[in-house]
Amino acid sequence: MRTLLVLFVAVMAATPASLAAQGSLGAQGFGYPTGQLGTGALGSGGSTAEIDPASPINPAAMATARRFSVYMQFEPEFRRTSGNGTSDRSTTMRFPGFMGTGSIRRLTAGVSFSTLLDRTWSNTYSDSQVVGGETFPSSLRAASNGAISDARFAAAYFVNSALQVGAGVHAISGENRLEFGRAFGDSSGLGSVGRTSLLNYSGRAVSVGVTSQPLPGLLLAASARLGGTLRAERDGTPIASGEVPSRYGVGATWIGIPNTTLSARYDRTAWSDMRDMLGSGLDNTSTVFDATEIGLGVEVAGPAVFGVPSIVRLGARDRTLPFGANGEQVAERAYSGGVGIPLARGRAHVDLTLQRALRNAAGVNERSWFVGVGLGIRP
Amino acid sequence: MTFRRLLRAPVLLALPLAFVVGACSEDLETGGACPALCPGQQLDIRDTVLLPAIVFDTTLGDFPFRGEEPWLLLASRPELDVRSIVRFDTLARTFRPTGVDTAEVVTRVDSATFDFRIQRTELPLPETFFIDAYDVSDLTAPDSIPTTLLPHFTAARLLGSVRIDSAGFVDTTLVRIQIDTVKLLATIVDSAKVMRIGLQVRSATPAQVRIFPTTGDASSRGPRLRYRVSADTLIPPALISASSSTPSTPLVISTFYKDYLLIAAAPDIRAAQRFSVGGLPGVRSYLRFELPRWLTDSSAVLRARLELVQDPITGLDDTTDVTIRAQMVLAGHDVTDLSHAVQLLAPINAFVTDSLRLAPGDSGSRFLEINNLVTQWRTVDGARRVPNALVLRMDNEGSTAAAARFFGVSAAPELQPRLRVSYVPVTSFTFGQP
Repeated sequence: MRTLLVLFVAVMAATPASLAAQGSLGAQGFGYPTGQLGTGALGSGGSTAEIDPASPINPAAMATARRFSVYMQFEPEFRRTSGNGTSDRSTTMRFPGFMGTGSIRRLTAGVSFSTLLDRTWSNTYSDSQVVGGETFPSSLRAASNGAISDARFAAAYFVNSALQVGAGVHAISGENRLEFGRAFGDSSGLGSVGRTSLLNYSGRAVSVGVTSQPLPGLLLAASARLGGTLRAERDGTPIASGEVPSRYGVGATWIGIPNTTLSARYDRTAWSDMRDMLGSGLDNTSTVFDATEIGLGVEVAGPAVFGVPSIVRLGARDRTLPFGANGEQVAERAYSGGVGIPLARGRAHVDLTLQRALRNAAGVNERSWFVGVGLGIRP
Repeated sequence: MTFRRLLRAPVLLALPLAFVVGACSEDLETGGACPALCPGQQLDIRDTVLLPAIVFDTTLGDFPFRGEEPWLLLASRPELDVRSIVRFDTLARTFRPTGVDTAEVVTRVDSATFDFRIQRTELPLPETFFIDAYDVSDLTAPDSIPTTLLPHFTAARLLGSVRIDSAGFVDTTLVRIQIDTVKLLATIVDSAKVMRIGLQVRSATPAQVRIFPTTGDASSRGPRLRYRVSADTLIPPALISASSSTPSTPLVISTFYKDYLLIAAAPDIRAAQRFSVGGLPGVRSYLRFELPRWLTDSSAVLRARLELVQDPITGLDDTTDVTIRAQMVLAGHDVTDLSHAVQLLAPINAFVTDSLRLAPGDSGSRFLEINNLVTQWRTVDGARRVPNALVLRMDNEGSTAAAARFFGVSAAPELQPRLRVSYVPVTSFTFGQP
């Protein structure tokens, strides 16, 4: 069984890169929520995110990483969007997370930078435009580059082996470099329209969390983030303000079976806190929804590599995305698998994850492969 | 243990594969699902009519400047009498006999011809017509008033004539007029004299032809004077190109006077409350706009259509299609003399690629797209670098009698020029804010 799983991972990773981005279901509104999951947690469907020190979700989870450590991620998405009788492939490169932690006795502190909403896309297409009562063929190019990021400083306290608590402060910042141009054919004699602009975001939030082992073999964890004001500026001029979306989540993990871990997680994010930031676009189709996420996953001990057991992960994740397509909320279901490979006698490890995500809304469907590579170092 | 060892290989294989995937380049281009999945990308296009958009119009002549005409013209029509002048201020007055090193003064002339090439115009030619060449040399006549030469078109000054059968050529033909050698010799032997030839077309019915003018290049098909200075056939005939020695000031202007039009009679195409383009002598229209800054500075102009109402000009060439083009005026605010301002223009097609194609006798609305021009009229530091003005001019300016006339700013409101604009206010760009 394990062989099959490993081969499955390897073969999927070797699949030729397909190509994936607005023009897509995932990148509507302020962008795609990466989930702020570490690569390992992603491999188990996000089910272990509440207890994963590499996922900047629950500050208490850092208490289990009681050494100086750094963790970094790379997570390209290969996306195919089908709708209107056409199909587009695109590729988005992401570095969704970086974290560093250090401990003094029972106290662990850490700083992390993670992508909250990735808004990187580009689209070029042709349509027609009515100018002065006449309809003209037109070509349009629109692009966005950038993201809203979450910089967190958190501390966790190891009360005892049954209880760890943590708290964090978040600085939400980011920028979207926007480009828009519409041109008409030379024969039309019409002028073109083009503009570039820069949107900047700034906001703050706080978070708290707890991890607990109330019974032998059962780990429970919960966390919450309370959002503060989130502001947006266009080219230095304030244009909107809302709130950093608050969230809460709970997770449960059963480690009572030798070499096996079963996990489940529920998360709810109040993305509607950002509603006041939505503009009144002409088409007025930008909508925001609160999002629910459920993750289930299993981790089993894999073959030993350099004398240290590897970890094989499988998971499923079902969630909704915050920004709607044509007013309809986008649903995403993802299946994932991965391995955690120990290196340097346990002083480092590499997490490899492959996730297949399926999204549907507004008569459009989207298929994505995520390839996650995470590297943790504990010197 | 063996089983676990076997599993290590694929686990480790996943590492290099992950790096291969990571080496893929980013490709963000999509658009197939647009516009359905691309909200916020529609433009808030607004339409409005600016009336009055033009605050000042005037008609200015004479264009092109004397000697810069693209063609010389001969016309003998009701209301129109156009002649051409070709100057030969430099003549071959000496020659070198065969086998002799020293030059001798020309004392005899024979086989003198005046050669030039003509071309048909839109006007059908009569079966036969005549072109007469007159000696219009008069160094006392002011160059600036060519009409002072008109009295010289007399029989006493006739140098020669040619009868042309119009069936003998399709488009162009070389015309050769035998020149009175006695009169030519009298000019040659007196170094103080010049030979300036006035050409006139003569016919029982209306006639009009173009003449290829003198150009600067070696392949010029411009007029030439040809004569033999010796009976010795080994001595080639003198072949004289047009040249002018006056006026002496300003410098170089004399080169333009090698050949030019002499308009003896032409209808006046100007009229009150209207501005005109074309005709003979050619005129241009100067139109000054006063556009709001919200349009020039704070909007993306997609379309700016100048709407004119044509006033028909009947009579000469009223069914001949003509092309009128608009050019941006580059003259700054310091240039208050509009006759100068209408010369300082951006190149044709630089900012206005559209043109008006019409017949002088037509009437009704005419449209000219000038959106790129409006874009150039935005302010810089709150000021307009140049007056927001354009000039309307005709192709073949100065070589056709065809003209067009439009109602101006002082005409009735429904006839006045107006500017219909489609624009996108910059403030309406909400793209980027979902």
